[in-house]
Amino acid sequence: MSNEQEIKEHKNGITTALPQQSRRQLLRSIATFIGSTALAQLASGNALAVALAYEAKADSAQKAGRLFTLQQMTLLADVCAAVLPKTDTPSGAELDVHGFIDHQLIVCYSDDKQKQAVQIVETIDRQSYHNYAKSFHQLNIEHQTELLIALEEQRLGFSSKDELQFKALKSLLVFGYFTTEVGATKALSYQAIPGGFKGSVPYDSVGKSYGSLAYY
Amino acid sequence: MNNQDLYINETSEEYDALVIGSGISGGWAAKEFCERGFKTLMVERGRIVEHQKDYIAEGKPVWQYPNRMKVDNLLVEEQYKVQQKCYAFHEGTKHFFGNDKDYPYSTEKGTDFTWIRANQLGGKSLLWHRQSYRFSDYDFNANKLDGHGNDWPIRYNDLESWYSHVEKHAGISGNYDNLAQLPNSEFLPPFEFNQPEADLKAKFASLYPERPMIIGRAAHLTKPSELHLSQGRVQCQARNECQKGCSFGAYFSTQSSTLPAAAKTGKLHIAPNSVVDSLIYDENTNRVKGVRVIDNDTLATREYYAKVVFLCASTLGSTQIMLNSKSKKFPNGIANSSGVLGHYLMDHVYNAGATGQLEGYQQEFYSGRRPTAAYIPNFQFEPSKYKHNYKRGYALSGSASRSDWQGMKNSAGIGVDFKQQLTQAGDWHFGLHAQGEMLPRFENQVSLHPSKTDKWGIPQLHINCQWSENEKLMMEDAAYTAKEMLEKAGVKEVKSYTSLDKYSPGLAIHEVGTARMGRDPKNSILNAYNQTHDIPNLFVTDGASFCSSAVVNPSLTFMALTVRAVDFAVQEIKAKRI
Repeated sequence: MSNEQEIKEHKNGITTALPQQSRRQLLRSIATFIGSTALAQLASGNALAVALAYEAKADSAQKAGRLFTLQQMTLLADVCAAVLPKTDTPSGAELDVHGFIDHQLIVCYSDDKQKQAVQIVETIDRQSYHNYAKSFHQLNIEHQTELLIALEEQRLGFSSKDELQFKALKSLLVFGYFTTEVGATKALSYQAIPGGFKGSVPYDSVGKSYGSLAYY
Repeated sequence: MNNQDLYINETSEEYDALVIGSGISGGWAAKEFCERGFKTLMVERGRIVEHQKDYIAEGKPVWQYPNRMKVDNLLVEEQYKVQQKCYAFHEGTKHFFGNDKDYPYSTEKGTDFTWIRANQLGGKSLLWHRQSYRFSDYDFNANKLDGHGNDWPIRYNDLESWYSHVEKHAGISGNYDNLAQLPNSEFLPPFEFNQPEADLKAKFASLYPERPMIIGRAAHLTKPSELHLSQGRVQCQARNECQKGCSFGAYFSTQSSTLPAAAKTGKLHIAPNSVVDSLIYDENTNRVKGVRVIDNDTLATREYYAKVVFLCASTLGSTQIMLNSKSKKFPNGIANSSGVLGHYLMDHVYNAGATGQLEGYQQEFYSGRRPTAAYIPNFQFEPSKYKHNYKRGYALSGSASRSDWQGMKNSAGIGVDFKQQLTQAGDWHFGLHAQGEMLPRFENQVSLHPSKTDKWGIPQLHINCQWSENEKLMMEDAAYTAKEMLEKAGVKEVKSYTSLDKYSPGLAIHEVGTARMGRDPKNSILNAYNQTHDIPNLFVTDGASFCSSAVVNPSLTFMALTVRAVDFAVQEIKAKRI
């Protein structure tokens, strides 16, 4: 029996199949043992089909995307690695956040927002040539970081318009990172089924911000 | 009773009761009729949504959605331009919202109205925010005392036992706060405050003794009773993903609570995909005989018949059906001899507030996602407490939380330190957001569009609704007051806002009025039991029946009015007056 079938059986059992008395007992036991496997399975029973979710690819930086050219995808991967570098969790580039950005801009953003995203990527490369006589991709990560900090501070030729465009791109980058499975569950604390609400717990017992949110 | 027996399509049977709509009101009407032994047909315009099985997005983590819970741009543009304005609209809930293309409506030039739709079995009971408060006598007296709107024909005493009746079954979490302006319900244990909220509650109690802060009362099973367990429902897990549907049945919905109870009696039939065009009226007997229905998919027409008809099709849905039910005797809509059908549309005004930062509490955190907030009930609940420049009042709602990566994603930073900062909980913030009463005004009305129809050939609703000066002045005051309260309580960097110019009525999704109750058949549609003055076997028990919006969320009162009306109707039928 596949996992999916098992869970369906389980759900049916709870709703219809079991005789009245044992159904009540089962429900009582479920209510008592919060966070049990039974609950988790019941509540994630519909989560099995991963329908068309954006799937991370290893080679997004090596080919043109749906919005960005090959060269722009490469640069975007570098931006993802510089903004959120590898630490004890992977970098933005390792999680293919650049691939996600390309996907998300096409599907969920207006033409205008897409244009601005392409524009800022071009601007970053232009200012890289201007300041370092190299493409952004050719810079080492220290210089890449330096240039992006200058962008946020509107120095080294970057305008306030550039800064705003970058803010929008970076915001999508951060969203893209922390809504990956690794970002949400490893870099952050993830409570799929909290089991109830506690108003006061010591911060150290959680130690991280939550990756599981009611609204994204 | 298995599902094959539950759903019907064609039938010539005369039912004891027809219930039009399957949301909060319709679910209750069906349950109460069925439990009294009445053979009941629930007519639902939309598709079937089965509890658990059809909660297709439930439990899905964000990375498993095609667009990480955001909705495709083109889809929004083409099908959800209005619906996407709702806070709960996203990739995991969009299938429970109406498709704007199918549900067009027009608005008067220079006005706008956001009409949120949930046309499927269960209606908006799947999507609601679950806040549950009783009206008080201050609410029922308000129209009479200050002269806006007509006097409610009922008082708290008329509804009190019915509130208890629905609360025990639905399950309402809350604290026994013993407030005159907000009567206690039959409570399950309350959700907890977090630490900063608990401290703010104490500060407000000393600064503003007349403005107590309580925990929001919500239709969640914090501790299910035997009755709830027998409905197949278990304890709330604090996921706060309710609008995707909840297999735990931990919040009240038609699917989790009233429908299983109704189905268990063996007296229930459901006619899904049945768009009610109009009511069939028999002038000789002065009774409604049944409904004309157009099939949601095939556009085929059919009729259903019953001895008594309950309209529970949502505020504007019920009124649209009545306006479209024309006869020689009722040329302007059925049971509309008074001419007020469609008038006195109200919503709530949610367009002001203030937010700020809290210092300290760096070692404090919370666990779980609480599906309710802190709540300061209306403190201007009688004329002597009104501000000098406007009538009525507002509640304030808000919660304290720590900022996270979502809130910080726009802040400056590149590299390891920025990443580290995003993974940690940030500073605490707290806000108070106004939920104000909207006055009943004759000018705020809905009518049938003279020429435009929807895909079923039914005349579209034309809405003419605007905020009045009273709502504007109230929101200006609420913004000022919320800011002052936060500052006095020690909240830092407080910023206030008003947003009336940005948001049209409708978005609170508390639309009420348009077929109001009243003592006088000359200026109201319904009597004190939600029975139309004109036709004894026609009742309207949803929000359309309201005389005033009051300040509190309306759904619990939909429930209480509905069960009381069923009880009355059954007595009238037994006494052969219907």
